Amino acid sequence: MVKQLKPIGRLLWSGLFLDVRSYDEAADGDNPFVEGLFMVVLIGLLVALAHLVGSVLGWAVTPHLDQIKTLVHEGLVSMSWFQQFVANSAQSLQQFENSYDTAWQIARLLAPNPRLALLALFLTPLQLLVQWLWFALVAQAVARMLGGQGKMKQTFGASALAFAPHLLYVFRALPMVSVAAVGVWTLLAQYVALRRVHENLSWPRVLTAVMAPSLILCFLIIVLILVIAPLMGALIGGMIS
Amino acid sequence: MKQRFRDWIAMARAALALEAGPFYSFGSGPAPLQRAVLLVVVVGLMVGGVHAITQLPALTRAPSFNVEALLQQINQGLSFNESFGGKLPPEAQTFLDVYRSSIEVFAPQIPKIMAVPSPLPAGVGRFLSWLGVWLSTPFGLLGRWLSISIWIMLFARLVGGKGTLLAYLGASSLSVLPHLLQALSFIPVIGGLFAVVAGIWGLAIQVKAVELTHQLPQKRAILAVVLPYLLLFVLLAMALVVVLVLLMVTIASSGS
Repeated sequence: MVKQLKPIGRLLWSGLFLDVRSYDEAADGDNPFVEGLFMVVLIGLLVALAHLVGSVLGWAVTPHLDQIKTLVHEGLVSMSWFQQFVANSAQSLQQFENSYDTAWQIARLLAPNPRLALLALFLTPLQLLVQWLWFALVAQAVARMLGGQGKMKQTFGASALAFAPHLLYVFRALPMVSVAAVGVWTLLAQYVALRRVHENLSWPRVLTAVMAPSLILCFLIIVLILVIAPLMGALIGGMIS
Repeated sequence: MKQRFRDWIAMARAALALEAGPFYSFGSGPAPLQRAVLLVVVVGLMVGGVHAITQLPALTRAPSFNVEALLQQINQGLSFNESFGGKLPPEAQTFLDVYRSSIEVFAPQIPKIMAVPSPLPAGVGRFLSWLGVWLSTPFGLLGRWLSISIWIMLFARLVGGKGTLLAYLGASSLSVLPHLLQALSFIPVIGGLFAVVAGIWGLAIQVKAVELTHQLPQKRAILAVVLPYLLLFVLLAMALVVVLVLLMVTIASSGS
């Protein structure tokens, strides 16, 4: 197993530093799609494991939220604004308690949670897989439209390697480390990947193909919001009337 | 090892003096980005390390909170505002009284909240937080360098540059060297000045990197480095204008 992982580790390492030879290797392997799939899942699992470790550590150094909630509540209800504007109306009091509980439920969701991190062991590889497939399919289609001659399987292989910068997220095993630069690094890696696969394309065309998946996704989200918002409005309006 | 360290120091000095050698050296080779990232990480760790050393004493003691000092500070602020703004209308005075008394009632809860225990001893949390701040510094520097460099690369190509992405990234990584000055940012008053000097020096190194890796004349290299900042400024100005117009429309419509 370790012997099998060693070449992949080496490939990921050189792919991380945008070594063009590694992108050629990933694109021209025996089965670039399967190798890419394995690489993306491996990255996802490593990142999720680091996230789990970070969540356990983060949870272990976070003060007990229930005690903080009680102390803050005690402080708030003894304040003069509370006595003047909230305490003398049962409705206001109920509203306050509901809002207060909701705020703490949100705080609990944002606080380090090992149980949620366990779920990420499944969700992170899945999320990376979806991102990879979306990028490879759209970027390949756009590159071909622009005159690129690279094959789909080559794009799958090379663009999987372009996810190598996500490995930086393993530093999240330390709960207070904020990992920056992954997005822009991945973008650079994706550019190198497509440039190697579609060697005949000029750099502006490769750049267009690299940006296309994100731009199309943004466009789809905006369209979805524009379609859903009036529907939700009509639904809520109908329920009220 | 000692010789290698000396070579690095000599290279850093030459790059800071805008000599061409280090730019060619960092922009070539089989994996220019590996050396570039190493440089950025080392600079980040050194800057963050100095900050971390200054924070070492805070590691050994629990953070304290002085209720009286906070209340005094707030009362001073409120009194200053009152004396600066003249006599307040009765409604505003009532609001301020409620605000002041609410803070006075809540303040004693803060030390109790800070003393709430966690599953692991508080010292572990303080250590992880200290380590986190330190290790986040290289990531921040890496993010800033890469983000600005891809824009400079784009504009360099648009003004006629011929350099490759990896050669330019390798050479432009030298622009983080002046940021070592930020290690001194903890010094009161002049600390901020070091950041400004580091920023300007870094830009000069970026110009040199563009000039050499893209084989551009100096004027065009300056243009390629300045244009991304100009674009950012224009975008921010446009956003500000849009916000102001929206605000004015809102005020006008609520007035009518």
